[in-house]
Amino acid sequence: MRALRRFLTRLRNLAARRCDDERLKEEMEEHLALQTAENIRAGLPPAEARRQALLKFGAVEAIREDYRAEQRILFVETLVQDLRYGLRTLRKAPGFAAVAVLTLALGVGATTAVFSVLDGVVLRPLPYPHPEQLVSVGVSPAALDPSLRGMAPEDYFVFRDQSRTFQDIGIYAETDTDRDVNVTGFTEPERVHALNVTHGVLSVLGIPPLLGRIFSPSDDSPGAPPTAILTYAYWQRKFSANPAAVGKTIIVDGVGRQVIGVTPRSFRFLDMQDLAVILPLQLDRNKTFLGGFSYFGIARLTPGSTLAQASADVARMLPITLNAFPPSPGLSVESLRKARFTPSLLPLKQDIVGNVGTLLWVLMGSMGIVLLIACANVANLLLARTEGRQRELALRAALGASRGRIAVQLLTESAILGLLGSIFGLVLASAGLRFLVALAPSSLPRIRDIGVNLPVLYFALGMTLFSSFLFGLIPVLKHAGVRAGVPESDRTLGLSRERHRSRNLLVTLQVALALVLLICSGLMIRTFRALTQVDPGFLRPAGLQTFRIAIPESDVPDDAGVPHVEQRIQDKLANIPGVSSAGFSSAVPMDGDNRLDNVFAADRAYASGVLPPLRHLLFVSPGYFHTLGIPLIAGRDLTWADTYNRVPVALISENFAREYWGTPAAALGKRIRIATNDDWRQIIGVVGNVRDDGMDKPARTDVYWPALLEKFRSQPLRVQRYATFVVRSPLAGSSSFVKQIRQAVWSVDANLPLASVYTMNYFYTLSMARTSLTLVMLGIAGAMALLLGTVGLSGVIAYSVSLRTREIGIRMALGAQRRDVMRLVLGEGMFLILVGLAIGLAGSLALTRFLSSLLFGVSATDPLTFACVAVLLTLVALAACYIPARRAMRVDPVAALQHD
Amino acid sequence: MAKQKTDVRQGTLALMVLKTLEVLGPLHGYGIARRIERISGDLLAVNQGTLYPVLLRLEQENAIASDWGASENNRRARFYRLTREGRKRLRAETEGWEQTAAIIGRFFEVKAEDFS
Repeated sequence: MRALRRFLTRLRNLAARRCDDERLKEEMEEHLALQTAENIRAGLPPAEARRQALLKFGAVEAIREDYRAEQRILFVETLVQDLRYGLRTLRKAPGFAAVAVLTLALGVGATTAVFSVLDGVVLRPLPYPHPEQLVSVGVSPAALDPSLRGMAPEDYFVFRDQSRTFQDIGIYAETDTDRDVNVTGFTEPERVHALNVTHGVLSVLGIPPLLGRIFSPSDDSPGAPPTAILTYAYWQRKFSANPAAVGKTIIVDGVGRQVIGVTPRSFRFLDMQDLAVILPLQLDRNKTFLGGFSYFGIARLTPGSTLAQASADVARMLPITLNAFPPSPGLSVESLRKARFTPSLLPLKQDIVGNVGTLLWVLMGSMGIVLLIACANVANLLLARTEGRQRELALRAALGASRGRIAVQLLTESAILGLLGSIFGLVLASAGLRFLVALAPSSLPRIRDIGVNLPVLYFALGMTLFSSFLFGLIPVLKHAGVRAGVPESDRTLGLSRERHRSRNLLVTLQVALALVLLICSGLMIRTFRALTQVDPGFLRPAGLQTFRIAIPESDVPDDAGVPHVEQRIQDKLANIPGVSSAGFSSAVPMDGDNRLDNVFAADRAYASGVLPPLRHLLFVSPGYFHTLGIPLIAGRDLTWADTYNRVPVALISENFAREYWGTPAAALGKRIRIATNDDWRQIIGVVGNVRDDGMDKPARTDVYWPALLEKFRSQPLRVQRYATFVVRSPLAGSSSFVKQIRQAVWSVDANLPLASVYTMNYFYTLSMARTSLTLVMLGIAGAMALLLGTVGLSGVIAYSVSLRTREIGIRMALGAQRRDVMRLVLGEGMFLILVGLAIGLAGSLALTRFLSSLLFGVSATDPLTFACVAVLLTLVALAACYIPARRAMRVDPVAALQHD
Repeated sequence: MAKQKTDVRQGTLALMVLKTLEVLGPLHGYGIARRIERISGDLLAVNQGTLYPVLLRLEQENAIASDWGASENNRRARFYRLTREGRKRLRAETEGWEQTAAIIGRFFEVKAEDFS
């Protein structure tokens, strides 16, 4: 309280710039007069009396200092003083200030931009209440493919009813076929993203609706009146944000559904993009059979439960599930048991963010290195500058400035540089961020939530303080201890070995750090090259236009009629001028389709209850392979006759053929099927492998079926109502071509909206998006490191040359040739470079393994990359030394010797 | 360490100032210095001047107030007097000081065997 009042008084004094010096002076005068009078009374002569009085009073100046200190906030005043002084000195050296601020701005900007991404994607908690309680629930068939995870309705029913660790659980369908719906009845038909959820999903997330209500158990019970929830964006777009939308009916895939609610604006379902409508997933407990696997689960843990407890809980319930429901036709409980389903629970955030954390931390680390290099550069600049200010510092010390006071002054100047640097850095960061977000539109989860926000500002501030301290400390350590006294002459000072050593050390460090970053970029370049050289299994993706349509039952009620509509569309497409061929399939390579199933072969013996390996299933039209350029290796393509006559045939990929029958030709005529009560299907052709999971993953084994099937997977008739069409044309991707395609489709059925209109190249580049992002970012980091490092090196050598002008002059006077001088200077530079390279190579060997999960086709310690980058860096660095070396060569011996 | 020593001395000095003003009523700086000097022996003998920053501080803390007045030799001098706040503080600090003194005193009386 007392301290506070004192502080406030002083603050007032500071503001009023009041100083009671007058009053003190008067009081002191009076005090001395009284004491002198007293002394005189005691018998001293007047002069001596006055002297004694002064002695007794003490050091007037010190007391005055104390007195002033009592009146003011000393810290603030010195700070203001230092700031003013610092700004003045910087203004006197605009070139130095500009270079230092720009260098720092680059470092802080790059670090901050990447940090905002890291923060938004990895660090920030999910936007739901108590996000730590949210888990993604799945089960994995450990014996078949542990990388698969999903949930089945039977799991959902058992987990919901019998769990001891879940507050609530819900499942949702995310398979591509179920995600898009046709919304009709407004203006033109539209195909939008939809999500099917059980009532628990939205309540688990804990976000209340903006309008209306969320699903209740009655919405997802079988036979309940159809309902729907709109997302904010869709409600805005379709209903112009009219609250009366709740209660209206929309037609989704031909079914009228009552709108019961609207989600709030900030609501995101996990990382799903462009979600328009949320529909209740009506599961019928009495029609549930074991063996479904195409759902995903999310749950909220009871407070206090851990993930491990929940996993144990699920492990306890899995056997209960197997006994609670009958198996799907063609499956036995025994075979499901042999598949060894095991719990696969993840924190929800990990499920969303995935392994992108590694990538972002690598980028963060590389930007951190750039910042370090920038700091080293500024430190070197400051060192050189402080050396030039030797006289000034010595003078200040002589006038009584303490070591600490000089240190604070120097640090304040660094902090001014740091602050200016980070202000520009933040500007750079927000620009860089826009670039980053544009660069990685969908390959990064949660990318749209990224921005320069409070944590990012804190980070930038922290980085600023950290780096100002870092580069400010080095000159302080070197110079704050300067002794009072006449400084030695400038020339000898500069040559002082010790001072030179710290500059050399900084430059060596810069070279080493730059080498690390360049090697990382080099490895990414090699990775990218390796990826682009992988044969995707199809030809020229840029010339392939793809789009999806769905033919709802309301449009074509008869299943058998669907392929006819699809063929008519395919033929219309093929007739567009310039189109060489067209086809359709249930999925195209790399679109994320993941329809897997166990495929039995007739000539293989399977132990009872053991399921055969999973294969990727596709349903294709005749002409699909030809359009994509997937080579037919053996046998023949499908025909429309096969399709309409429901001939039991199939094609398989080459790797599948080789795995089972040795050669593609040997596979022809063999028979396969999916469920034990299906018809066997004869293999009529073998086609080339396709890299479905991206260029860096091995090709999956594929099985291609006709688009119309009889007695398939225990169904009497199966058609492909969802189809992705592929059209090969040199015009693919142009808007006029898309318009032609739309007209072709609508000439067959005007109710069919087109969705996911992309060229094949889109999927191809998307599959490499992470690599390209890493490549670009590391390339930027490497380029900045190279630039800053060489500028730093060049500066140090130039400085050294300027200090050695006299020495060089003497050497030349004694007969040294220009070549010798050149060798002398380059030799000095070369030494620094080589030491830096050695440290950098050692560092790279230690650090590049963090990159290994991002590499493809190149080892993390690839000798070729290491060697090439080292040579490149040496050449660039030598070139940087060449500039000062040339100046050294032009030294005029006479002028150099006459100089001072 | 050196700084801490000053603080302790400033604290004692402040207490002495307050006590002096309580006993003697309004007084100018020189008068306070003389009183303290006479009673405390040589605590203030070296630097009488250090009193003035302490007076300023006490005034800022509202423990004392000051006005211009005429000194013995009829010159303008600043007279300090105790405020209500200062009286309260003096009482509290005297108590605290006595307590501390008593405790310290007891500790110095203790002999080795008392600890065993």
